[in-house]
Amino acid sequence: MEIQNCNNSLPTPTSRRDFLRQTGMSMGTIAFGTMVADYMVNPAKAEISATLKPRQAPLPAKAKHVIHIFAGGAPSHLDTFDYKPGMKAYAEKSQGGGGGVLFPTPFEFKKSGKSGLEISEIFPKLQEQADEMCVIRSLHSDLPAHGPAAKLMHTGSAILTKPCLGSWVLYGLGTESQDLPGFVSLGGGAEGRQSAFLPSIFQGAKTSFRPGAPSNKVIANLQSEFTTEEAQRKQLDLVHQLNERHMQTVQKDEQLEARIESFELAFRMQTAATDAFDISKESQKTRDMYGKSDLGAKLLCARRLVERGVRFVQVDAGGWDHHTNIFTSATRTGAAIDTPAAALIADLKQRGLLDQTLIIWGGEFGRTPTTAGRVNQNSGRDHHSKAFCCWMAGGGVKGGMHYGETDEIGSQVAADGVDIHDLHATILRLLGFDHTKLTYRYNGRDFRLTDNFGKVVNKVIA
Amino acid sequence: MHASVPRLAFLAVLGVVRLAAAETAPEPTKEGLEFFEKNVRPILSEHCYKCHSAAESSAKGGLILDSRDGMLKGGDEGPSVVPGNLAKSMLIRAVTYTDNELQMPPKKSGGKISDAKIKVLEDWIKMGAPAPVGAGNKLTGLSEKARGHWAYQPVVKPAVPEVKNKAWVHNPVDAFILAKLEAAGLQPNPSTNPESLLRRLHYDLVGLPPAADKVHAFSMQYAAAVNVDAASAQRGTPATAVDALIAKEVDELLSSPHYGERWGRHWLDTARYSDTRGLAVDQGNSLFEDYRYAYAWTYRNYVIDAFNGDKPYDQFIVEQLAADRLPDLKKEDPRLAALGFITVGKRFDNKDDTIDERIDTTSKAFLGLTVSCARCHDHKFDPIPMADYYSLHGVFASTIEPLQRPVISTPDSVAQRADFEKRLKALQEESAAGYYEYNREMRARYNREMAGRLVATTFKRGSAEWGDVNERYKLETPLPDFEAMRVQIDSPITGPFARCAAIPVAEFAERAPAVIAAALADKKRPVNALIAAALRDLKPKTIDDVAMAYQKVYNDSKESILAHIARCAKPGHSSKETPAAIAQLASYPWPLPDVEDILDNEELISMFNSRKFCNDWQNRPIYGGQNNRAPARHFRFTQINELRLTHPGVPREAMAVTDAETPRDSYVYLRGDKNKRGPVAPRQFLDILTVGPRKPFTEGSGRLELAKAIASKENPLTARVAMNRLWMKHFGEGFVSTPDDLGNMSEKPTHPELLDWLASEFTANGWSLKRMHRLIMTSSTYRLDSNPNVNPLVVKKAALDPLKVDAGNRLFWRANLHRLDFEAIRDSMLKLTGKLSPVVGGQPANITDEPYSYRRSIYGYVDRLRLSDTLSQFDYADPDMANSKRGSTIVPQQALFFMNNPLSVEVARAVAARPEVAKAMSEDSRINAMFLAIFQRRATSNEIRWASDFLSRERTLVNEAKRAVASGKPASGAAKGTAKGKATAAKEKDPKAPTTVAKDTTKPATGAKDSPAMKDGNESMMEAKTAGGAEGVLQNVGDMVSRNPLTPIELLAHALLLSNEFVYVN
Repeated sequence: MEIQNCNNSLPTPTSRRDFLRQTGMSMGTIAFGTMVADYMVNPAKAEISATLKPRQAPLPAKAKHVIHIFAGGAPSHLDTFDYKPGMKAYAEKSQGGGGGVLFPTPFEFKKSGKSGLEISEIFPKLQEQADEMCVIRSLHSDLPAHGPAAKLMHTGSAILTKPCLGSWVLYGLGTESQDLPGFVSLGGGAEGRQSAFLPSIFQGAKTSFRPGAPSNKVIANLQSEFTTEEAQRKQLDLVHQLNERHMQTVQKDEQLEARIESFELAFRMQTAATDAFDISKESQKTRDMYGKSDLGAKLLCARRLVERGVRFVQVDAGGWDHHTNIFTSATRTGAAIDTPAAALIADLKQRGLLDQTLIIWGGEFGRTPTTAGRVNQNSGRDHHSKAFCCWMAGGGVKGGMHYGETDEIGSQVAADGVDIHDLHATILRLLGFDHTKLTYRYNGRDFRLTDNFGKVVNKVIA
Repeated sequence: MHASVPRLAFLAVLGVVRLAAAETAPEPTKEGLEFFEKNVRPILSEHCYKCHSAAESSAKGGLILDSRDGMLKGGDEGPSVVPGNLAKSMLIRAVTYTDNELQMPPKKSGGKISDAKIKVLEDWIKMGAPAPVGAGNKLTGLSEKARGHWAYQPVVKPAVPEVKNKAWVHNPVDAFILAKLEAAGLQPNPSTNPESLLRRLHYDLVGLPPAADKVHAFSMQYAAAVNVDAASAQRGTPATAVDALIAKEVDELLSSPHYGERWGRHWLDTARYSDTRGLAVDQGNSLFEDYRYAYAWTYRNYVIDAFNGDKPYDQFIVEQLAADRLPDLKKEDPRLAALGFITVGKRFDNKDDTIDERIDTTSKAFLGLTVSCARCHDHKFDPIPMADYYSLHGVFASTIEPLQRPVISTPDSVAQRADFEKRLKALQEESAAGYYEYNREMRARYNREMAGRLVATTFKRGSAEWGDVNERYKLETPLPDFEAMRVQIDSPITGPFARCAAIPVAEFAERAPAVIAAALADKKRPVNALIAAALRDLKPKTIDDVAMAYQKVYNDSKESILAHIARCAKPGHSSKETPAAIAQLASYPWPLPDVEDILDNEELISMFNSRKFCNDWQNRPIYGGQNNRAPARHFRFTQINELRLTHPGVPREAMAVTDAETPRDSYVYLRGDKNKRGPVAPRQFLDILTVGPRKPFTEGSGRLELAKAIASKENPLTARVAMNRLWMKHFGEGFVSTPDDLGNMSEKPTHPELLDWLASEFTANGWSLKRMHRLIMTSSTYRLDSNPNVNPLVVKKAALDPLKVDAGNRLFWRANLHRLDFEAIRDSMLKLTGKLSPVVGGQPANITDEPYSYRRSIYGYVDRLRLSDTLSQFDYADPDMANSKRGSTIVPQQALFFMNNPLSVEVARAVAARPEVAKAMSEDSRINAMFLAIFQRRATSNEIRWASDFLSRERTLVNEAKRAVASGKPASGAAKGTAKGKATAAKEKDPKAPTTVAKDTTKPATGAKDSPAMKDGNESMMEAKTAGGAEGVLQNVGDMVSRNPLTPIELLAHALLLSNEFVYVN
């Protein structure tokens, strides 16, 4: 409102900015800087440029948003979603080759839902959502070390600094949220939000979201500690007057207009983000549904963000590195995510958002079928990357199914192996991209999330 | 292979006459290629490429079938296709399933292909197997075409072109630019106004705005000079007054020490400068090593000095690659710091990755070549075979970092030096003491549990029996968190145990005495006297008895061992006082050197990293979960590094390299796999850039020879790459838009002749960068107005619209408007606080977090693993690899930075507190004073009106708040819940009173050349500290910005900072 008043005092009331606002395209003016030159020199590349304007994916797809719940530390596939009842007979038997003795899961599994998907008892609530979930049991990689494997899972590269999944998605699709960052990271390492060589507008916004913490401090510099919003509004009105004059003396220019728009966006973001991160605005019933834990708050927050048009939410849900005492540890870590994740699926579904929101849960690798020494309460599992699992839900994924098989002890992939590039290719496909065509030219090479690899697992796509 | 084969029917149809001597005729015929593409490739594509294709980057068995080279070379088992010879072509053997061992495609991938398809393949081989030479139908970098790329051709100085509008040409640069414009029917913009020009000159060369009075003076001089020139023109004499004025300004700026700070930073982008290694703390050997580089900043300071001193660019190259090999090297030679170019890059656990990083940076930075692409295969686009990559690999593999870094200078202040030494010594002693302390702790645990740990070694790790040891010996920290001992047959301690362990359990009691006796009698492997005494008459029934005997020896000697450890730990005391047998016991499983031997931090670190140490210690006591970092709490490696990073009294050390004692050529790693050795690649320069006969390097690693080959006038790339970057930084875009890649994947240069002319000028005149700046900046081209609407064609509304013909301004018909980079923005803001530090050089500071540093941004601490969000939001160069071009994105987070960050608030307060603002006689002059400070110009009458309206509105708000408080109702601002609770405090203040800023403004405001720069090291105290520990980031010493609410005047100053004018150069 104030803007229009301010414009009325200027000789050119119809600015490009107003036009864009009226047509709801204002995001398009933001953030094109570097790429402008590329556009002009190489129009062929202009299909996807460095803007956050929402874009139609080239292929038909349902998923429009992603919530990636990263279960860092590497959850044991054998105690969660890859049931090996046959192992009971071989408890404490030596396994050929590696050290340790076979360690059958101490947990009961249940054939859940109509589909009968096997889910461990550590996830009683998720068992109820089985028919929405698609478990991939045949993930595999060569990296049983947390750091590189987590990088690989997030960026498709274990060593080099490459853009993460969320950055690629934002680059490909832009964002629908007018007043919020298009890619929000709710905790986790830099590899989960870095845009690397992609322009920095595609980087995940770092947040310090915690339940109970003031929501206006979740993003750095989100609100002023020095003045009121009203005073700031008047500042911006003055700034617009100065900027209009500046533009008249210098030149009319897209960059200048984009920067003007960015202040309006920032101003709206002060309120919008503060509101989006304020989960106390949810009904008691909804908050109870997600539970009182940190993860409950994070996933509820993720839903609020997605609902507001945020493209990609990265959630850190680690703590799975159970070398010892897996019985108590996995029970505890599992419980922490069970209620929130089940609530997220149910909540998105009841709001009609599940179809367009892809939820991904998984870690960087799995754990050994063996334990060191005897099988008892203290038993744990070591790192194992030759076979592990993840699950997806919503976003056009087929629910109530599993894909891929491991051998009888869950040590190796037995059929339909899916490597990390395949997983990435599939995620991109669910969002409407051919992973071989979503490229970005950098230093003389067209880079992709999937490098030179990756094949889409079509069978998990509904 | 040269046997001719019968012509085939379909060849006759195609009219092809071709013999199968394919290898002698590498270029297949068009028809042959057509046959391949139409008939053969579909088969290969459907059935083979998934596993054997360069394009798919899959080469199972080493075989690649999408190129002729790949097929002829074949895989690990030999050639796949022998043109004309079906019997020898493994491809045919595989697809016909005639060989049980070789059946392709494999059954699980669809099995045998149809006979018709086999027939096609057979026909094709018979006709000589024509196929594209390179990878698929993609360009191969090894083709003649790729070699013919313009950038690999010698630089030949072109003639300066003739132009119509001669008057516009001030120097040859203009002639080249104008010639292209005239050819396109375009005209250059008129010159910009003197104010914009001066701003451009200053930001370009020193990264700071000119002072307001300077702007005023320059405008006056400029106007006068224009008049002089006009008069000259009338007289028909050359008009030189404006040129002279600009040249004088350029010269002054070039001689400012801040020039090096500006252009040094550009180079640091290229050199991927960072203060950290980039390895996560919990990865690799960094467990005992800080993740920061203590001395990266000495390289940064070298770069600044090099630019300020206009070091010839060829020397600059040679010093960065091989300063240690210079013939005239002196003691404490400051040039050694240049070698940081090699060492400040990202580190990897794998040595080859670190070497790769160095090859990548070297080739991109100096040559604009992506040599690293040839690590696993020949370069796909540029003429760089794998062997060339490994030629450079050998050079860097033969380059090592000395344990003792050379000192290049010591700070002048004796007091600072002494303070540093004192602190360093204290930390080193703590660290050394930590070693013994850790040893004592571990000793105590082993004394309790030695028997169990020894017995555990006799079982397979992880087995059930192995696990039972936990129970049997009641181990405090169960296996596997606390591991087994290390047992070796040749150890004086564990030798006898190792021999006993080899006895089968059933025969143990019977055979053990003899085995022990034999062990004790072995002269070649003498056994520790105390162990020997304990074992001599032992009649062990089981291996456990032996283990218990060991534990008893250790327990009986406990006091002596601890006394020995204490003696080792004390300087000046000799461990030789300890009886030899005790000393030997004490040194198992960890070495126990005298404290003098490990006092030096590097010694200690290198010991920790040595293979022997790792073997002895086996890393096991520290393995497992939370124990991982147990030793770290005893050591002070991190703090020692921090001290070096931050203490002004630290002797400056160079992050130097030196040549390995025996430099070696590297093998080609087939497909980049270290375990698959190909031929040896002699250390030598890249083939494509070698002028004259190519000779292997002979001096040491070959770095100096490599450097000289790069820094050669004959090298077609070096000068071009440098000039393209120089132009890019002045004009916002280079002739080639990818400054670090001038290879085949780059766009054609917009002005190849000008690029070559500049490159020739550059090398012919001593590689002086300052000379080239001067040349470019005194051209007419540099002076152009940026506004497209003032272009003569636009003004005339001519049919030819430059905005349509050349919207991207690649022909440089106008100046490019551009946003300042982060450094220029922050430095300009600091300048406004009056506290910008004029010190050139020095140690790193935190440039993004409170408490704020007032050092220029080039001195910012750069953590490549955790690059500050503020920096990346403002398009800071990714420090993981050479990145000479900054992005210029616009994101709301940048706006939030200006609106809400405390730094911008502090700047606003400082501006409002300036005497000319605070003590202004009227509102108008107050507003004017603020405009002068921030924009270096007076406010227009409109602006004064807008600003006063703003002030009165803000004051009304404050008054509302006052009244609201008086009446107990919340003010409107606070009512929204966004007033941050402090708004009401504003009412206490007289809005007109100057607010005190958080820190004293002790230092005067300094412009580019307003005050002489102080020299490195003159400051009296540490400017930064670190929070310590693994995650500790650098923290400045200083005050936080006051959280008092902004007054209306401050809000006005703050608003001006948000404006476009503040951050754009036009």
